[in-house]
Amino acid sequence: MYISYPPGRNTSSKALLYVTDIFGVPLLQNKLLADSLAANDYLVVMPDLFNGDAISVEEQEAGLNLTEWRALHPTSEIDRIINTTIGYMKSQLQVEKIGGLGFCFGGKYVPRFLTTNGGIDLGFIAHPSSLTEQEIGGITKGISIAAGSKFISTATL
Amino acid sequence: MVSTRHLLVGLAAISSALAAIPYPPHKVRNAGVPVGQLKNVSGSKYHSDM
Repeated sequence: MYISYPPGRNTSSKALLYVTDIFGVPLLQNKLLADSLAANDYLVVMPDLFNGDAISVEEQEAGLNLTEWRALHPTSEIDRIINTTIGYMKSQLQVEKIGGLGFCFGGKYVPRFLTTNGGIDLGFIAHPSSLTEQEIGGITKGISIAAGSKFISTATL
Repeated sequence: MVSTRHLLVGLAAISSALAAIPYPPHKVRNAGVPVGQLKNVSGSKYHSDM
């Protein structure tokens, strides 16, 4: 888990749960983005979704079999990690409000916890992958979605 | 007029397309040094860096 604190503080009643892409906690850019969010007065918590098995840039460029890798990290396990993280944030970090951020791979999971008792109070996702219509329909709280227009099927809009 | 259902279906289609396209992150030299902390959180299945 990577935790980035607001300047000069080690606690906060409001926090951001940063749900990463496949590159996870080890990716420098993910940590730097978490830090930049923390610099704006948010406690940021970034769980390791893959138990040390995040994909490296080198692996991705070498042609990693993403289907095989995804099978090692099923939805149920990702849900378990996020649930545990939310519980940790509320019980150990005394966080009262949680904003969820999901990028690509992580964009699927923020909506899953934006249900009535999901644990996240507000969400933002960018270019979500593998997000289902059911998951979108299950959202009961506020969410902002960023998605590239080139991927939009104009036939459906 | 775009219906909510059309919007949901479109977003699901976007999502499926994105699932098949792993993107390489930009390689930025001297991007910075992380200032946060790595923590092991006990009490969960994942005793290593959770």
